[in-house]
Amino acid sequence: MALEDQPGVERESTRNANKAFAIFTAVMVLVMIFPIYGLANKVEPMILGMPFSLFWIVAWIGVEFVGLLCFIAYEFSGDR
Amino acid sequence: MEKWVVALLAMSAYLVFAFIVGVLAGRGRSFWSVSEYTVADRGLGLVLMWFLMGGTVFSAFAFLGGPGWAYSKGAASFYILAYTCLGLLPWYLIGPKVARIGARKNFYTMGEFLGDRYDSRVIQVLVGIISVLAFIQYLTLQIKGMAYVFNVLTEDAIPIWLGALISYGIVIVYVATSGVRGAAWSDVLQGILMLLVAWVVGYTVVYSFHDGVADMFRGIEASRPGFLTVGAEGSGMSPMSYTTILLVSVIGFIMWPHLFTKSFTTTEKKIKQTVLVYPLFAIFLVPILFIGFAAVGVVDPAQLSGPDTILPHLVTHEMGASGLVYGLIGAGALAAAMSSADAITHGGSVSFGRDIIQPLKPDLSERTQIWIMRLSVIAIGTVAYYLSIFGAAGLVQLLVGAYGSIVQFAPAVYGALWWRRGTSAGVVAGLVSGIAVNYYFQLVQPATPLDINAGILGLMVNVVLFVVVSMVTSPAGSRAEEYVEA
Repeated sequence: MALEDQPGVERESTRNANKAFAIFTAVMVLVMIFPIYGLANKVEPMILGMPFSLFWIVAWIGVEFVGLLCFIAYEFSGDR
Repeated sequence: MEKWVVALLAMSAYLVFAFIVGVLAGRGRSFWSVSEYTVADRGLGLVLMWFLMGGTVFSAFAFLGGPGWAYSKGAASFYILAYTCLGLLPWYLIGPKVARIGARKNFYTMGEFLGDRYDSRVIQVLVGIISVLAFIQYLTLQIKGMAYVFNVLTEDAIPIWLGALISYGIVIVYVATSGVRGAAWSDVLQGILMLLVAWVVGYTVVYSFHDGVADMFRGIEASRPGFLTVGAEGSGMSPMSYTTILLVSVIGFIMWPHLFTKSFTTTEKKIKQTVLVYPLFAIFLVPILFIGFAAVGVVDPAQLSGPDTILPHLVTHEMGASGLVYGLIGAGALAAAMSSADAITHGGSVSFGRDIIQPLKPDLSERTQIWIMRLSVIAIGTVAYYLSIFGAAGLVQLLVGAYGSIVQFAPAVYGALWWRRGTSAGVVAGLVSGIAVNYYFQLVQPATPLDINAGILGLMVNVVLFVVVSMVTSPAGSRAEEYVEA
């Protein structure tokens, strides 16, 4: 049985990562809500055909995906 | 052949296929095991987890409500993208902890989890009752969606009551026979179908009325200034209202018991890999919003019975679409509604059996428990079907309130995992007051102070009372350590 499948065992890498992940979550939420979203809450410049208010969200979703990839790669790097 | 006949055939083909997949999913598994029925013996694979969780987000709301919001409220609809990509992030932190505790203590529900941590049967039953009421409300929305789609795309040939009966009847059968595995496998089929449909239909609609996406948005900006930003003149929502509805959705997302209990169906690594896919699901919602934006200035709101009918209206009245397109959209929308309805019906049956019946009659055999859960699929299904077709004003209000109350579980859950000092009295005080505040502002008051979402107001009162009452009462058991350290 792989380590992460064992009940009651928390990896050390997970403990380290959890704080960083909480901060990551907070940042992701903050850029989506006011007041920070207010910076992006405009139509121009239009990018990829989308108003900036929409592009901002799509771009941050991209950042989120890459961030999640990094977290998972870090935590499970020792696994086969 | 008439368009509606082609549409009916396409939708029927989809329904037959979904039925077969759902029923076959449970074959070769133990029919009499509570663990198999509720959490698939804690062994769901990664692809199944992706679609099970993803299918739940893509509900009837995404397909009908999403375009409706974009059409009627403009930029406020971006909140749907934001909450889809954010909603599962907290699960990355709480899911693995909940999974470890659940595997050790053999939990299947949120009620068991909270009831054990705070050593209180009252909490368990309370969570069970609120969950079941909220589930029924959620289900009635899906059933109405299915029935409506069936009715419009077959040009009234299939009446509302029959469309709902056929499509939801299939869900009931495969959930009752195959449990969570039936829901998961049919969600794979439904997920692939609706993602395809979303993109094909999204772009077809945009290009049939405009010269591309940029042209569409420029046209909207010229004719409706402010519509594409939040909170300006001409926008559908104030910044405060947008911010707090997003917060309440993100905090409340994983508190939905049918999602929370998916922590018990798999392992830590798969939970984290499931979270990874959610941003991609959010991207898939973008063309669904385009459908609504494409209709701005094309369809006069007075022609619609409500903004949620914009997609079927476009297809049947404006596009001159072929019967096959009717069928494709019909199947996609049915898939969206059904993939949410199956997970919720399943969750409701588990909550009812484990959190309401079991605490009142603890000495039931496993075989009896299984029967209770499988029969409650039918019971919950019947109630939801009846309410969505015939309604009942008083009850509907109760259910709407329960739906909005789910987020009030959050302080108890986070407290269980990170705060040793929380007590059962604190949880009950917080939960009951939070729900009361939410009901008051959602149903009694016409508006909330500063335009703050009613759920957030409830949450503020909830957290304060949870902490204060916990501090002045003494903790009963000594389980806090075990939960915090898990």
